[in-house]
Amino acid sequence: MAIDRRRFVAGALVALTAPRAVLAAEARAAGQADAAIVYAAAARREGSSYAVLLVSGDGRILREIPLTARAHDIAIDRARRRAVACARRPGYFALCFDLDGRAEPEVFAPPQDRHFYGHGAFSPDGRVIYMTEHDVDTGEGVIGVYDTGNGFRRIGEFPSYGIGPHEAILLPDGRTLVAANGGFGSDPATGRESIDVAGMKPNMSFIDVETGALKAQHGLPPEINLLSIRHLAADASGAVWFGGQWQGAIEDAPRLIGRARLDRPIALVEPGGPAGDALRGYIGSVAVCAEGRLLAASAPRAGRVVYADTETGRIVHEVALKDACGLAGSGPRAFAISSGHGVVRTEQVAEGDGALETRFPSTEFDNHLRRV
Amino acid sequence: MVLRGFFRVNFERLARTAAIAVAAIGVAVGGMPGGASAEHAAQPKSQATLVRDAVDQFILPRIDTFKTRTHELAEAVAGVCQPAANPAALEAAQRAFVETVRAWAPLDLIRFGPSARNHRLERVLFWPDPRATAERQLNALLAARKPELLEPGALAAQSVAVQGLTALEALLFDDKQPLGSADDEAARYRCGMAAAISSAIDTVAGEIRSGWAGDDGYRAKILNPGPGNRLYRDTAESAREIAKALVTGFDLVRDRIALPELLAISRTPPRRARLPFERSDATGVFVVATVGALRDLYEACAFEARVGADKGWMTGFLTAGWNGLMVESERLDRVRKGEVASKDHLHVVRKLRFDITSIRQIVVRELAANAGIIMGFNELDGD
Repeated sequence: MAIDRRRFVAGALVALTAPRAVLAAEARAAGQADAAIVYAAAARREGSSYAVLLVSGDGRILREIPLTARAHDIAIDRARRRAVACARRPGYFALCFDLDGRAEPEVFAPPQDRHFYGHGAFSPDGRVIYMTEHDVDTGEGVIGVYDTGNGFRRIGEFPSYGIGPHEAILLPDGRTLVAANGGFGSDPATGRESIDVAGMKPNMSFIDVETGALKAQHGLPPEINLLSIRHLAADASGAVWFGGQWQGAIEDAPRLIGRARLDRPIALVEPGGPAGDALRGYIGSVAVCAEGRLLAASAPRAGRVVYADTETGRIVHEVALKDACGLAGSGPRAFAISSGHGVVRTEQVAEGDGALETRFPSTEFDNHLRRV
Repeated sequence: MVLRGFFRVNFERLARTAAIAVAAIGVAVGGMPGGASAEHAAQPKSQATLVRDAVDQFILPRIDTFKTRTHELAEAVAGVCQPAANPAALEAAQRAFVETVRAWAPLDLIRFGPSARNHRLERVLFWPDPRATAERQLNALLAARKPELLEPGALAAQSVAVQGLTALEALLFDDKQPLGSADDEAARYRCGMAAAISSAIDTVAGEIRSGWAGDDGYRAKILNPGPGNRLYRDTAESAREIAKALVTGFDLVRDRIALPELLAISRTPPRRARLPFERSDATGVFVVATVGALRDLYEACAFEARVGADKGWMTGFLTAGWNGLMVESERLDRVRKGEVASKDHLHVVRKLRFDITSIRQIVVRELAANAGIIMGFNELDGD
């Protein structure tokens, strides 16, 4: 029962691979467009077992990779058709697997004095992955750089320029990494307990990955510094949107969604639509549709997903789904939503009908959903 | 139903695993006092009754007790700082500190309402504190010796780390510089700072109490859900808040006590973990009071009455689990003071983690769910 890190990481996976041909055949068999889309997500399965799943939009599990601990996000390497499941905070492993089952999965871990925060971002060519990390000794946020072609050897790091970096995304220029510094850390000794919430100063940091230099940093007004900036998505115009998690009393929660640019400070979503307290102070993930204009933000504690028009900055639509959290763009103006109750719902936002809802038995989808 | 089938399979397996694990670590699970028996089987409560009882029978009485203890603490610490104070005054203040810790433990898991506003939770207890921030910042204040910081209310504008029990403990339980034992300027300032901190804690306790009171207080909000209530639109939301507090308490025992201890003593060579209130030797008091509070809140919710008719094994499992928790929390302090990572030490910590994890799982997936309180995977523990 002892927690031995080396053994734990080594035992973190059992690979069940499926050849690409099988995946394609299963997807075609469903006979509709949504069914052909494959999503990746971390999940809790029967009992308390954890896994990474590849699922189809019509409710079939195409592949399952069991894990001994809970994962958070799945970073996708589109260039080489691989993915990395990141252990959730405080995380000690990441698992890379080939989306088509052509290679054995690989596990990598942070150094002894670091832990992962649950997110990573591949470079456009897939040669490196940037992982959000916590420096246990100093409490500072770090971006660890891993060489994906060389056993995921850690080849460098640079600051995240804040405390508690959570999601980090690479902008289309392939060179600017935006890190959501949530504002508080966690310590390996005390698991998921937050450290010094009262001292939070969350920010979005735009970082040059070639030099590690800070290009721009945007914080929040002091009166809403308890809004932990956690999850990010870039829209078609290049603005970076965030979903926040309020660490104070629900009745004091501000608006939870906002955006910034390299050269423009944070602006919260326009007033109107459900307020921060109605969303229970908590956004679980954000995603932008393929066309790039609509942003979806999930509020699992309120059982809702809200949609914002990224041009006007206004909430334009919302949908109720219990424990909805994972989000992925599934079409020009369409999203897939996953829930902790094993549901995947795909819908066209503008039309408001034609939603397809499928239920996966014995499955609780974790925070994030990614289109593969 | 898919879900029911899932739960059945899941918990039958859990019960088997539990039986094996408990047997393997040699703990008697029957015959402990205090468990629910068939003759005294609790009746299920409606969600509205559950919320009312949790508030009126659990939360509010404990807030009153805490306020009484913080007032006594403030008076006792002020007594240490009197010119003619004797060592007995310091001992009285130390006892008052430990009683305040005991009174706070049940409230540490109520992380909504007035406690969640204005950093009150952290202003009472700044923890975790892996880099000893409280003591570092306190020492900086003591070195600067600014008289205005000792004025009533002045500490509220300082870092939360220096306002609460963590900082006060450093002052009250300092063997090298016992409070009230010297009369130089530095010693007087230290005493004044201790008095200011204890007074600040008493002020926060008063704010928490008043936040629950009155027609627009938090009690009225959580007991009167409805469309016009921004916090609780229906009874299910109020009930979920209470159930989540119970789960938060389970997680706090796991993250603050069981995991750090297990991590430290499992290392090679084993180490000592840093747990809350070690300097005041009140770690055991805090753990026992927390576990006792969890059980009280569990009983106030009458969750034991929500065991499914087809899951008779669960009643015995829960009784054994709660009894185990009480035993382990009582033993933890003693084994920690003995040989690090001894057989007993490992046994107690492993069993503590096992019981807390098992009961949490049953509460979330079975008992609360049977009471109509559904706590989603992401809602409960997302990131």
